[in-house]
Amino acid sequence: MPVLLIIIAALIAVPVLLYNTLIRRKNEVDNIFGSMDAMLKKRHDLIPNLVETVKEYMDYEKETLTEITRLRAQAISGDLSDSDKVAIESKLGGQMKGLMIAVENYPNLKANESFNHLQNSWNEVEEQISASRRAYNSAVTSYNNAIEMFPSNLMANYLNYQPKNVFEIPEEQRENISAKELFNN
Amino acid sequence: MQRGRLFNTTNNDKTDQNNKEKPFNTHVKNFDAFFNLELAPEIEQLAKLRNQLWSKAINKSIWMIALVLVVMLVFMFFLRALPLILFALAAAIIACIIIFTINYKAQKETYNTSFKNKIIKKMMLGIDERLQYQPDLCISQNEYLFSKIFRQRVDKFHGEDLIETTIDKTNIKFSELHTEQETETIDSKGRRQTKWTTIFKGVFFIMDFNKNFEYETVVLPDYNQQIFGDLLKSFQFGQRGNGKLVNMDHPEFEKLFKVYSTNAIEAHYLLSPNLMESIVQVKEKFNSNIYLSFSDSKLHLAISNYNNLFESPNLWGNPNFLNLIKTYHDYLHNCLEIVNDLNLNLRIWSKN
Repeated sequence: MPVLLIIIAALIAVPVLLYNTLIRRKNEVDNIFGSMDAMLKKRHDLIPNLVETVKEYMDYEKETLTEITRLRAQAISGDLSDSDKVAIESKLGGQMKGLMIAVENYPNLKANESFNHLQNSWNEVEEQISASRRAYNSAVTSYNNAIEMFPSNLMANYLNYQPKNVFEIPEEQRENISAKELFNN
Repeated sequence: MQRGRLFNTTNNDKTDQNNKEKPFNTHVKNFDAFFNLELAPEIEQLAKLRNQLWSKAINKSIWMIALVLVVMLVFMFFLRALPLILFALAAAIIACIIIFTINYKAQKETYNTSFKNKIIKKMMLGIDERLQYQPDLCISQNEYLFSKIFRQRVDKFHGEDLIETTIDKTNIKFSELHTEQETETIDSKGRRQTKWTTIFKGVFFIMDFNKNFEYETVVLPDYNQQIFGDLLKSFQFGQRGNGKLVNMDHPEFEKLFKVYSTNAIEAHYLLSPNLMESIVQVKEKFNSNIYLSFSDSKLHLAISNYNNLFESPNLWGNPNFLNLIKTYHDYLHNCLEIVNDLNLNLRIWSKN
């Protein structure tokens, strides 16, 4: 009799545990994805100040600055699909990175205290964005493993859960040394 | 102290001339030469004290042991039964051992204090004059508890050998700590037994961290992962206080450690790929369990070590001081290098 009870309890408990595991994994992914918006907002807030500060010093980067302003306006416009958002943010990141490299040619700008402060804030925001991508990828990997591994895949099939794509993280962000090399005064 | 500087500054003279802060030295360049010139004379001086204290321990013990033996002989004279005589003899031997141990410990303590104040302090100043060493102090119990690395109730808190300095922009302090918990067990016959269990024994560090943060993140050794590998990883949901288990994206780090944080993104922000790599290397360098926590804008690091650091050798025998002090020096060098290993002086973020 006790053996029978244990078997019945296990038959009830295992599906419940698997269901809860999958729900928690899915929520984790959604939560982190939601938090990424906050990080991107910090980036958007910082760009006008940075552009305003550097344009006084930079004579040859007018096109880059215009492009950055345009991409920022697009990014904050709001009516974008997730894939468009990712593409615009990626372009914006690339342009900003190019701008920060160009700073090396302007010693007066490098010596400007308010620019240095903005540059440090920029490094911080960029690393936070990179961290949120890494956190998202870790959560997606755990989620994908859970929906593909036996026996939770049975429950995932029942719930119609599909694998999610991870962000592609550029090598320099993975290495996390670009900032050091670029801005080492 | 001027002589000590010969051993650690060779390329920094220009910096001195320019009146700039010279780079921090984490070890003595030529230890053997430094030992012979700076420490050997002090050790010779200390040898006299060592002999005196050893004689004192023996002399004090002889008188007291003689007294115990006389009392026992008188006592045995009136005893007729053999078992009672044997019992008295055993009691006398035990009393003699206790008397000698107490006397020896008192003298050893005196020697130890002199050894630390004269030899160890000088060795530290030889490394860098900015090292502050206080043999009797330690990281406080509040600081230890505030790190949230160890959550067990502490019933016995002991520590010594506090070292503090600033390496470039990073303030670092560390000391030996030994924390214990009293546990009571009841056996099958209902007898209560009190046992002391060690929570942590080793070196506890508190360092400035170079990034701002607001949540709490703790890094602990992961014994399950080391045994079961990735098998159960997707089904693990650990909780520690308010912190949740966070999966990190560095395979080697993830194999050795588990991370609990109240914010998964901040845990990834603090534990950058480079820092995780460095933590793995620090663990390999010390070859023992390491624990970390990020709280109150500080990095707390605990490294297990069951050896007692900076202690003097015994009062008897002919110890090899060169090897002993070199061992302490090398361990201290590894401790100070942690600031560079973890790249804590890199200040490219908002926090300066």
